[in-house]
Amino acid sequence: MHDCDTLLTRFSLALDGALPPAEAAQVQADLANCPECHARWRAMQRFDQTLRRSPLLAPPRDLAAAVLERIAKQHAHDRRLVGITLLIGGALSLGPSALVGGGLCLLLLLLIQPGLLQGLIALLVSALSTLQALLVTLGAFHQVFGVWLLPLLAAMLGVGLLSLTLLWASRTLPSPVIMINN
Amino acid sequence: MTAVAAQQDVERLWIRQTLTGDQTAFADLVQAYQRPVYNLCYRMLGDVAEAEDAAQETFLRGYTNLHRYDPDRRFLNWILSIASNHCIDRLRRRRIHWLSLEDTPLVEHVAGNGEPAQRRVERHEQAAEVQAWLDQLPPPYRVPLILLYWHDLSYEEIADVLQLSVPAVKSRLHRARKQVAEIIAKDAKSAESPNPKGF
Repeated sequence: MHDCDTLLTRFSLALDGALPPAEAAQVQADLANCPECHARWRAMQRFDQTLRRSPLLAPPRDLAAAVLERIAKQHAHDRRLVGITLLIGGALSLGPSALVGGGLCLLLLLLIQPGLLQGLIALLVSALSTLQALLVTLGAFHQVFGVWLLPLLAAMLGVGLLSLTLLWASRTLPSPVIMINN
Repeated sequence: MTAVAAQQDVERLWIRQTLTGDQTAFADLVQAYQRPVYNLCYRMLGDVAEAEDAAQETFLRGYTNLHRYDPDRRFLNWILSIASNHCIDRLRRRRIHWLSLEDTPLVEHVAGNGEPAQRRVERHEQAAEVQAWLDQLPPPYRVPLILLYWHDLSYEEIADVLQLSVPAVKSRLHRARKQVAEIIAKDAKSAESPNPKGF
């Protein structure tokens, strides 16, 4: 009595010629006693023979050329990537360098010309005073117009822009020509 | 010096030249191994266009990783290993695969040598049948069969390509054959084939 699973594992080796002759003879004897195993063996044989008859397929003629083309594209892509990386790296290092350089130049200027510092401070104070005056004015307007302050300012801005546009148009557009037919 | 040793010497020379930037040497390597690589890709993927793309990708990967190649290993095994891994990845990504007779490249590659039309049709049908069987197998079982039948690799060489032990290769081959045999037996119990081995 044979074990069908064990017999089946020997089929594969038999097909590859890797089964010792004594075992091959035993497989042959067992096959005669089991129609189910015999059917499987025939199916495996059919598969084996069909595959052995199947040809090795020929590749497309231009495969090597296509591979070299892809390699060239890959190289170009790599070069672009390196270029972009260097560019970004350079830009990133340039920003801090410019800040440091500018700061050093300013410091040097201030050391050489101390009056410049006083001038810069006066400019800053003047700008702050202007801003303060603007805020005080706006506060006064707000007290007078209340919630209408913003629409009023928008309307004034609109009128101003419209006036400027009309003024620009009157200067740039050609004058109408009046044709007089006698 | 044997032919195999001479071939290996030429291969090593091509590899060295490629590593120094000579792309013509790599083109020679591609020419030498395009047939087995393309064949493996087609048998794995069952589609002409996809097989061509996979073969190109295999060589591209080979070129990129050539510095990692171990010269003690056979170059064919190494490049087939890349091809089989790439094809298995592609099959994993693929959701649905349709095999049509039009996809079978047999007419293009085999026909045209003046054989009768009837024989051509038979070959075409046989190729479609083979591909249909292979397509029903899980990719890890498909690869050893292809390497055994179309590339005449030994168990040891298949083990080297797939980075498996020899018993694991035998086991996969057995399971693949068993699975196909069950499909064949189920589909066509009446189909009888000759018994050349005498069992």
